[in-house]
Amino acid sequence: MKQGNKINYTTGLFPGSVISLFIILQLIAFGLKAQGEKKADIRLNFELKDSMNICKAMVTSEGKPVKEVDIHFYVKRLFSLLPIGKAVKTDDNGESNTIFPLDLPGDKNGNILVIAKIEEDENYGNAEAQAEIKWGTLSNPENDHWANRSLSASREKAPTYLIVASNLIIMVIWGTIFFVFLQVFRIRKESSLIKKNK
Amino acid sequence: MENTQQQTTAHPAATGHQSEIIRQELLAPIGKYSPLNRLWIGFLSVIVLWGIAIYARQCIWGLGTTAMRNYVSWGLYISTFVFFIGISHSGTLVSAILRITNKEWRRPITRSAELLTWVSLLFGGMMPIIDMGRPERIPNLILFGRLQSPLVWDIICIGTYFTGSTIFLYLPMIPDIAICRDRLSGNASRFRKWIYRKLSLGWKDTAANWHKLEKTMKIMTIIIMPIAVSVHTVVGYIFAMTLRPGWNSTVFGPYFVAGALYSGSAAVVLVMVAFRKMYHLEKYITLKQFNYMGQLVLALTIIYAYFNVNEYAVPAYKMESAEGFLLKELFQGRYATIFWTLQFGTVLFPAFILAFPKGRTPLFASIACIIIVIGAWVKRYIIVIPTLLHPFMPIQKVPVTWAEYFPNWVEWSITIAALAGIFLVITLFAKIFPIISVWEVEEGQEFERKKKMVDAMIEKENAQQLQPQSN
Repeated sequence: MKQGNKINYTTGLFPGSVISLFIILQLIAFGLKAQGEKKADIRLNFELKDSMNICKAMVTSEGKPVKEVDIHFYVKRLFSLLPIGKAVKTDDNGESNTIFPLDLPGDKNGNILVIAKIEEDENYGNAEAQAEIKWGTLSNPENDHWANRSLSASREKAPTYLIVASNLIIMVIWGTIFFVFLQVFRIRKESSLIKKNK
Repeated sequence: MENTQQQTTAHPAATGHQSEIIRQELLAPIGKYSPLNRLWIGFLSVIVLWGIAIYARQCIWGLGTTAMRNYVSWGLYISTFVFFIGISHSGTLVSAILRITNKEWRRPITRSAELLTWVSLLFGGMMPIIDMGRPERIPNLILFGRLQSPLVWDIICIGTYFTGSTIFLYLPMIPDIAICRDRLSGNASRFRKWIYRKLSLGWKDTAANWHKLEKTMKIMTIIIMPIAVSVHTVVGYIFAMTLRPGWNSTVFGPYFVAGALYSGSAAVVLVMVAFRKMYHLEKYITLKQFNYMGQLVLALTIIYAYFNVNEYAVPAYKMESAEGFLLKELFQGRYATIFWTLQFGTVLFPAFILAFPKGRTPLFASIACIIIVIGAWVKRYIIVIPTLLHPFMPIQKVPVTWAEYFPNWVEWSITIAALAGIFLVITLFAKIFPIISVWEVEEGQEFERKKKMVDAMIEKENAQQLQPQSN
């Protein structure tokens, strides 16, 4: 190998070393952070007071109540979680309360799934608890016209007028197109017959 | 069979010295590639290949490689889809409407208009598939699609329009392909010979052949118009039937049809200018065609401007909450410059140019039509993006940056590649087939000749009748 083509290994390794060192330091920092986070437990209690649905979240860590931690309350909906009010901080007893609306649609038995969360807390990280309670309004699929034909129903329940009208239009248009195709093939057939006769 | 042979008479227009000149001139560009042509085709091919590579990358890594997020899921791709589908109305307007109304001046421009329709539909139809991110799921739209959904109507309408446009482009080409087969096969490559042989369907120029062709063309001319209108109406419905501020409009169907005709007819003028210049077709695409097309574009621009007033003035009068917020953004907010430039710069200004006879000459008409076409594309962007950024219910727990959108290099690469694809197909088409319908021009000249003969005879008779009276 010629002298001029020698690779400078020291320079070549330098960026790699820096990146590796950076990754190691990041891993150490992450580990230390994870070690610093304590585990929090959330327990949910429900109570009906003065015609109000109150959800209580009790937060403890290592058997002791956790103060001043934000608790987010949600209700599970079809695609995502519906937030109930703003986050509420726990008091000295580790308790956080929120009032739930009375008109939340529940399942066919009136049940809703309540979720309480601690989200990205600097001391406790993330924690979650969920419980089912009969606080929802009854929703009966039969009453929601799911069984009837409508524009908002499933594909099998498309309105009859829509099925008839659309199929009629499709048949007329595509029928004409097929007729045109047929004429084009007849042109070819006629031409080939003339050729044969010649 | 004997009957068929008895009908073996050539089409009246396909004879004579004049026809021979027309054929020589219109078939001249076919199969000939100048260095500039090769450079142009190479340039377009590179862009298309780049776009394919970036699309493959998008398929592998997902739509996260684009700038689209939860707020804007119909970005540049769907804006371009609406624009391309709009351009596809050109063929229907120029060809079908002018055919059915027997406008003689249409003859040299119908082929390019029909081609533009077909190509823009081909690439326009690809854009929603590109936007889907998971192209292997396309069959699900048919297998599990709901008939109640405008998306399913759109698939049906675009599929039908594409089939109809293919036939509509192909039918008047059959006699011309037969001319190419008979006259150009000597020097043509094996591939071109094969194309001419297969696509000419063994055309024999018999009266029976002509009768069938004219009958089918008449049927297609009638049927393609409602199909074309349905396509853009349904594209409008996709927006209008979605609960979003700015789209909740009853005029969206006709508004989209008017917008499509306005941009499509302007695009036809640009194709006319390009082919006239490139293939020296000044003798066929004359100032008369530019004057009439200019008048047509002007009329459509005025109709489109009227729809614009309706589309924005009515909700602006009420300024209903969410709609009002969106309109403020358009009229005074971050989209105000684009919005007002579009209204005055790309609708009223081109109309002003085209209102004067000098504005309908090739140079000024092409300037006006370039402005219209670019404006139509940006307008689609303005219809789609600001509305998506202003939903009725804010999307929760997403980064603030997701509430902003501007297409990134991935979207630009794929979209520009689609545009390059349109140019590439048109360029290659003109190198294989005549870009002006030979037999239609011949027929037009024959018609003109006969008309002049009849006029001369009538004049002569009138003169003879007047002579004894004066005596």
